[in-house]
Amino acid sequence: MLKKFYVAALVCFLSLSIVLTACSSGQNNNGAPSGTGAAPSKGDKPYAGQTIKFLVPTWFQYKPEFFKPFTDKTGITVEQEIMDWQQIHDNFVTASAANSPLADVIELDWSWVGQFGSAGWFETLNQVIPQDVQQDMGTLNIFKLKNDLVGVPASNDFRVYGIRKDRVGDKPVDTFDNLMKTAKEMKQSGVDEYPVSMTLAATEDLSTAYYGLVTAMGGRLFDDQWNLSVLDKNSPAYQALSYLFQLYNDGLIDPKALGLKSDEVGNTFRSGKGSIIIGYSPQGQKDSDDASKSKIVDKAVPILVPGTNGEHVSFGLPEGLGIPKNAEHKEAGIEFLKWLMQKDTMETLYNDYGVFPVRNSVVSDLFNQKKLKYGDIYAKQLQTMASLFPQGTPLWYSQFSTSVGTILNYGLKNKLSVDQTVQMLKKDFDKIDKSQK
Amino acid sequence: MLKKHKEYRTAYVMIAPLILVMLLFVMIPFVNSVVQSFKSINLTMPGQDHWIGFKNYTDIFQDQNILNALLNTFYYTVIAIVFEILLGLLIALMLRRAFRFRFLVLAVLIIPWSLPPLVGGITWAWIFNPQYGILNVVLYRMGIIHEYQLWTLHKDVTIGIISLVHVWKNMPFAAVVLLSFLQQIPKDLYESSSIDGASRWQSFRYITLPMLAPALAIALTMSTIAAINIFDEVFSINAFGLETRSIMIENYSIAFKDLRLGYGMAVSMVITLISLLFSWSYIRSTYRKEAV
Repeated sequence: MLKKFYVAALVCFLSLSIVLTACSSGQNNNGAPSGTGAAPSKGDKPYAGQTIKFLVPTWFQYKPEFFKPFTDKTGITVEQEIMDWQQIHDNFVTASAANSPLADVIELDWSWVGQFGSAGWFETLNQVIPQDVQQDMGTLNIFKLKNDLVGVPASNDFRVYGIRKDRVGDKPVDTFDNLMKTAKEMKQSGVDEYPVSMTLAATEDLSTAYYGLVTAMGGRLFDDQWNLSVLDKNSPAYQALSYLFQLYNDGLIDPKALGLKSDEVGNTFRSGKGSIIIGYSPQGQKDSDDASKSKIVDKAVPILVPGTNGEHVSFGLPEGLGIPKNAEHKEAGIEFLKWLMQKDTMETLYNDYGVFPVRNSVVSDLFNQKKLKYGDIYAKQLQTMASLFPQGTPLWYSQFSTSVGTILNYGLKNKLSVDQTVQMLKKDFDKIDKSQK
Repeated sequence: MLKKHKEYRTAYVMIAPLILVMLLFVMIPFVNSVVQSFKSINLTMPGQDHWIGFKNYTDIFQDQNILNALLNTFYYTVIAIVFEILLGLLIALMLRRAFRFRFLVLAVLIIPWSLPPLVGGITWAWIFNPQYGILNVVLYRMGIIHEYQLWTLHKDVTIGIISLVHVWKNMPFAAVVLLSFLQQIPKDLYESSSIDGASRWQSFRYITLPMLAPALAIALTMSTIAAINIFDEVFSINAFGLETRSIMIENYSIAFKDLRLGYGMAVSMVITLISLLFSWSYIRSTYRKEAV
């Protein structure tokens, strides 16, 4: 009997040890992850031998040879991981809440700065990014939270529109009325069944497409007291919503767009469907002219965002990169960021991947060297960029934006009126805790 | 008494690791979640957690998004229970008798259940994809449709598609559980009933069904819990679309997109309570019948 007891006790001890070891996170006493890579080597490659994880969305997918110059220079290997933009947000939230490192350098969208910055999940970079580089970046302040630089811009993403010049020709699309009229003519004449390409899926892409319409019509999402502008029927925000609904209800946008994200809409446009694309970008134009990705090479051109009174207002959606506080190779990650900020790297990114440079000096150089195709359009558009939140991005922006995308999609799918959709937006907006500061 | 205690000592030692693991990884986190559900916790405001009593719970029943999600979850649950149990029973009855390649049919049957839910969801999402899904391709080439369709355009159809994927995945479990109990029913019961003149339906109703009661309880419980917790299939087919959002999708959105952890935990508690109520009612009903 006693022997049975001792055997049982031994079995229990062993199984408990295995369970506790398996559940161990490998952390040392101060909570920092163990295994932080090879010990820094001496000389001018202090982080040689380390491998950093670079987590970015699909539009930042670079070929392995892009990283070779960096690896040759520093001895640091870059392991790129691609993930859907929305999934990066959600994965980062769960990883950060559990203090589990997800990556060393990670996508930081402008819309996440408030949320993630206030949660304290990113390293501050004020002292590590050279001052001359910081001053050369027009969108840098978007990545600051109370003067702490929590990320650096990586892509100067801004919106233009795109047209198939072989189909639209000289028809006017410089104002929203003209765009609607031209699209209807094209549909009626059989040139294009669904002339307007735009995402209508229940995602952030639809929200930002709507915001683009609001700013282009000279409006804002909120007034200075954070009241929803769309509640006022005379506001550009309401007019923008009405315009969106009219485009869809008049059959100018393919109903399938209700289930297609923006990159899928872009692929559809590049396959030859659609003649006017809303939510276009320099990177989208680059892909349209890439024979390996497009059937409309040299047929699509960017145009200024339609406007009123001769003004063509767009807004910026800069994407950035940051170093998570729990990254395993922070210093190596910072070296990688610094390398990405270099002028020659930015030129390569633009020439090979269409990533619009975030440094003003690089944009000027490319324009002067006539390497910036359609540079005159982009330069003109960059002069009329509105800020979505002149008062600063609110911490609850992510919650609000998710509501906008899902409610707009719901309203269009279920053929609600504009007023019914506005009421749904108001209801959801009232639930948000706006005391978050 | 002391002798009995000594006899049980070995048994206590054997189950001690399990009890410890359950305590550490289930009970303590559960109790912690219950406590946190009475607080306002927002990850964008670290260090500002504070006690708010039952406010999270009262907000749940005034939140239209949550009420809609609960209604959608009810639809998923009813459809899942009906089809999983009926189809599972039908397949179990067909597989009860031996036939050639029966083992192969069983193996193929289990494949959907063995796949991770997200894998199944993504596979079906590709089938129904409006641009390149095989369903569109086949129907278009057969001339049944004249252009590719967005299958998730209408709420009813989308809920049907999501339910189809969910039933496809979970029905095999019901079939296997029911089959295992079917095979234990003594054959002489059927022989006796046949001698007494009972029809096949009467045999099924008065012998098979009562003997299957425990299996039905298990299958019903698992089907209900799986349907209440439906997430992967909804996410793969229609992501965060309002019209098809389940309560788990809504909970995920609250906790991990809005970062409102306290409110999210309260929703989790409500979901847990609903699941427990269903489980308790099935089991109670089954064992009450057995006692009678």
